[in-house]
Amino acid sequence: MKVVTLLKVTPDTETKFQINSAGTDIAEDSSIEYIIGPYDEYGVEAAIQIKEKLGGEVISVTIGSGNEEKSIRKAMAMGVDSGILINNADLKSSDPLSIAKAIKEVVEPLNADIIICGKLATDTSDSFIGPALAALMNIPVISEISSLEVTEEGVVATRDAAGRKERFESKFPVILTADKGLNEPRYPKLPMIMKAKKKPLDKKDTAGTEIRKNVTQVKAEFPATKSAGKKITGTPDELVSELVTGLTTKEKIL
Amino acid sequence: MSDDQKILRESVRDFAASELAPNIPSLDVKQEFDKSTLTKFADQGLLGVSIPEKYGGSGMDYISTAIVSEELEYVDAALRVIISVHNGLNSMGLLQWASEEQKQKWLKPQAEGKRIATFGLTEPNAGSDVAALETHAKEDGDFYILNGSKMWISLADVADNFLVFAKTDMSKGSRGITAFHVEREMKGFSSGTIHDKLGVRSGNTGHMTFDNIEVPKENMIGELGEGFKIAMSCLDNGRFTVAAGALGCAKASRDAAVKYAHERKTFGKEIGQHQLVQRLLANMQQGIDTAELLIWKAGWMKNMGIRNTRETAMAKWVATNVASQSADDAIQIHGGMGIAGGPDGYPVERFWRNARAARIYEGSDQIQEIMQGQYAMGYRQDKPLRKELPKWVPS
Amino acid sequence: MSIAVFLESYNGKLVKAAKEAIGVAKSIGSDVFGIAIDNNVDAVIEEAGKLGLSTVKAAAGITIYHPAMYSRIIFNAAKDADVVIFPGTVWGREISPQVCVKMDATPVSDIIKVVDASTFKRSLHGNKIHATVKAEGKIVLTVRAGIFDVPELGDGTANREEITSEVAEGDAMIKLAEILASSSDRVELTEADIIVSGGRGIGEATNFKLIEDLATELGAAVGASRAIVDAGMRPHSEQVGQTGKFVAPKLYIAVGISGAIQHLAGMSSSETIVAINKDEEAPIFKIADYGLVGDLFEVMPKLIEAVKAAKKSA
Repeated sequence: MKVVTLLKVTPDTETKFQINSAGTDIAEDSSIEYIIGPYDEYGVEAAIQIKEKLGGEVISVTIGSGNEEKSIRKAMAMGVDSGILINNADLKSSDPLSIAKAIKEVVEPLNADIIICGKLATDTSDSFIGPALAALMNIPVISEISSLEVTEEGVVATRDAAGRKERFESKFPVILTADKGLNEPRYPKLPMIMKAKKKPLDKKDTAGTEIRKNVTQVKAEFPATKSAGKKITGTPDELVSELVTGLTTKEKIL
Repeated sequence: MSDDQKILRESVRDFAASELAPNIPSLDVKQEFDKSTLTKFADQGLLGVSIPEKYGGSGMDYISTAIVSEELEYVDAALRVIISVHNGLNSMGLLQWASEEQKQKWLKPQAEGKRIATFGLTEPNAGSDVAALETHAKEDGDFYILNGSKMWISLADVADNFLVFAKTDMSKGSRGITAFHVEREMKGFSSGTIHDKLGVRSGNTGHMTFDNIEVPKENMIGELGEGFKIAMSCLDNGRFTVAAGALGCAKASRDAAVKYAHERKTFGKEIGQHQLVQRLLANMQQGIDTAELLIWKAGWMKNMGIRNTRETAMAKWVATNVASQSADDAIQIHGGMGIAGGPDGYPVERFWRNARAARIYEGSDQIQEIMQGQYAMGYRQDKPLRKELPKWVPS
Repeated sequence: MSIAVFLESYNGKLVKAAKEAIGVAKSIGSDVFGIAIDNNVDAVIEEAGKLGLSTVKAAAGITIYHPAMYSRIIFNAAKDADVVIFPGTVWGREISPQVCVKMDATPVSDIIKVVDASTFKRSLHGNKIHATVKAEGKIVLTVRAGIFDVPELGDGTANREEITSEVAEGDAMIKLAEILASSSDRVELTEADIIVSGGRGIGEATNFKLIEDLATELGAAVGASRAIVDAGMRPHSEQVGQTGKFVAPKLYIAVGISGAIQHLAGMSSSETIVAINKDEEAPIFKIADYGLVGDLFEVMPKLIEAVKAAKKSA
């Protein structure tokens, strides 16, 4: 089984951001820690589990602009066998369709049985690459999966869709996007961290890919904070009475 | 930090936060050591951080051992203590002093996490005054007959292997001390647990007794009478982990204090807005930055193969005091809440209790102070040793 | 400007996010048509008409969802449109990129505000940053669910235009093999007007009954904080927050939730927020319109009774 995992490296979800002086984006800050996107990490874990069950290899593919190598090495320390880093800072600021096309150029020749990535990039809030790649490669996609079973014949995956559980069956090749709940990503063991340094990482250019910048970010701002809350104290009866009165007369919800 | 060190830090932090941290407050209250912690450490590869791959370790640099210690004590000192005795005092001691055959036989299973190790130097009547050891080993054919007892031994009740220091010549003071590798299975070995400690209550601390144990001669580490030098160089590594752990405790205290200072309001504003609270936090940060630099300096010297007894001792002295003061100030910032611990309370009183003993063990504040004074005056100088800790060679 | 909107429906009923998407479409321009695919497409067309659409392109007789087939049908119906709008649902997020590829259009996903026909606000970095983006060319939009208003119901009717679907090579590679109805008949989180959520303060899984009982009385959905999902007490499908669902109901009741920033990111856009927590320093109180400082085990039973009584007298 050959599994390709797509890794996007994103600022740690705990990061406190500043806005740049132009007011168009978050400020560049060398103190920002970059991590494997949380949903992509579920994809990495799933890929490793598939390899552990059925054998084969796991290759990770990343678009880069300079902050990626540590995260790729971490994925290798988890069990990924080799990596491809597409170094192209222009690409990172292009629109998601150009990125999907660049990934296709690299991934299609690998002839993977399964391509897996996260359902969402937490930094840009895009959930685009997986399904777009499916359309570009003309292969099936099952997105936002929370359970997965892989056999030699194909995959069975389930997901939550608006309160229903949908169970899909697909043959290979197939693209999957991972939701939380699919697995618990492992922590790299120490000996694996050292072994990861010796795994092959192929750095590629994508000079041939057309880079389209059809989306321009013109402004970045902090969300308006909700006005300060109102605390109510008293006995449980008083609390409930004040709340119910408020919800019926003022908010007119009840 | 290198990429390996960053990945290591992330990995140990996540591991400790999810696998270990949730149980600590209740284990601390119950004074219970959770043996599965050792299995988890072994599985993660934490028991052989800086031991070369050929001896079963991960072959990471010495600073990595500090990173592991720091991240573990960020959660609780009891977790870091395992690294101090197993990795620092024992395994790195074997790495430095044991013969190739001994390393393959004893160091390798330790680094792989198959055998848990600790260190037996301190006795009821011999703490800072090492030369006052009463445990003795008498030559008898192919054996040394070991008699005596040890006190304040971390993991005394759970370890398999012990690096024990005993007098082989009662007339010679510190030059009459020899180091031996002792195993729990040896006839005449017994151990017990010490309860009701101030801190490190979820850690195992105990005493052990040797009753006519026949220790084979090939279990001697180093040469006859070389024990004092070995013990002191083991402390260079043990203290390094204690210092790094204390840094973790200080950072945990600071983070808890900052969080609380944002949440708690008095006189109509977050208490962090009050300048006297800011002063406490500024002092913590000053200490943390200082301790961190000292630890990294000592670690760098170890990596380069430069003797670092003075620098490591300085790091230990400063860092343990920073931890103690930071935990104390963190309690102050928490006000009354600061003294309420346990599973439903705040962690800072546990940090405070944990931080205290580190200013006594592995060289008390006073010993550290005297050492630095003697170095300054030139009364104390480090002579080259017969065997040095090998410098780190990247694999 | 021609605007297409995918009318996601299930068993003849529009999902709430699709109604919101209709509202977004109408706020961008007047030349709007819907695209419906359903086994009971007539009902969908009728509902869309009432929500103000005059034209619906409809593919009838499709009994089961298939991502590639849906993408093809929507592409064929929408390829001449300037803007194609999808609801921010699992289906919407799965189909929209495929339609975007076929149209070679510009994707703008997960918008939270329309500035003008080509300028939108998006929420980035787990709602820590809001960004305004300008897009060129044909645009494929997905709309974050729960943010936009549903248009008011009128008495309009929509014209129906038939669209066809063909099976394509490759479709047989994948199938939706089974749909398991949700185990409860409770309203889904992202569809709900009222949500009752429980957090760490609940203590044990069995105490969650208090949350469920209040939700039942209010006809509300049930949510949970990350802490208790991670503890295995509730399924991930109920998690509200940065790594769970983003919700913005009319009323959000947070019970025993301290209000970690990741949780607040997922629910702070709710219209009215009620918090019940015994720790008066809990961050949730900073955003709660009604911050009840008290023991949830004392307050909740009384609140459930009070809601019952209020319903009777209404």
